[in-house]
Amino acid sequence: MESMGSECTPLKKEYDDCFNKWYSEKFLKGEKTDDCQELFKKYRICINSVLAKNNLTKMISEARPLVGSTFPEPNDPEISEKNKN
Amino acid sequence: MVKFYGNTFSFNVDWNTVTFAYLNRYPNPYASHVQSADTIEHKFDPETKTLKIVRLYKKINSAPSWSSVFLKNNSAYIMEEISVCFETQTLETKQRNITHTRLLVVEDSLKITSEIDQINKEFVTSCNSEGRMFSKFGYGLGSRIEGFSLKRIKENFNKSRKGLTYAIEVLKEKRRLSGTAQL
Repeated sequence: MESMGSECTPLKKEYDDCFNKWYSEKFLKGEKTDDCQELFKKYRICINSVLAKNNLTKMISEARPLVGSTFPEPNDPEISEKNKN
Repeated sequence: MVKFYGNTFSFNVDWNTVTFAYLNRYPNPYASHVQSADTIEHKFDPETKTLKIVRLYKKINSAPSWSSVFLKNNSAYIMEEISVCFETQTLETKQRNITHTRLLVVEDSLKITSEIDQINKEFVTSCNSEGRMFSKFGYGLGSRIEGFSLKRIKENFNKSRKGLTYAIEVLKEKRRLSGTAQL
């Protein structure tokens, strides 16, 4: 499946492939490793900038508690820094 | 007014396969309106062996043609939080539209669990969906929008089930070709 920002599709694909491998070979076997964080970080930087360009960042943070989210705000310094540039 | 609805169905396929297929259900021929899917959060807690991800979907034509009077464009964004717990063999999701919420809010939840079929005493994977929708739209149109949308939601349940069934079949076929029986 495509990413909403075509420039992020290759990074999304790398993360998705890693995720599927991890999910079937590690997660579903009860292992405790989290293999795809590095790839996810790269992909997230890309997608966050696409979300910002489409004015979706605010809508997402507002909707987050409504879908029962347990995630903190996406204020990871690494990502906020990139979005400013 | 808020309208509630629900739906349950089960698969004679193991939980591992159903959850993997659910996480990979797009694209499929029953969801041609889904244009993109992105994971915007990913968190794994090794202590509880729980995975939480948030996805964002872009869909087109999800609104009926008459709504073009109120809507600037026909693309909508849906956010979904998926939580998968290995220990309890439970996948739970919640989703909600984040655009066009003044017209209509649709919230869905889904729970995929492993259960023992009482008749055949075999493991089955059960999918329970629940949802609610409400419109705060004025001009006395809110309840008409709700009534119209409820009909569409029932059709959409059918499409989601077919889409998931399709994803399961694709997965089985891939495994058959690669010669691996299990995930």
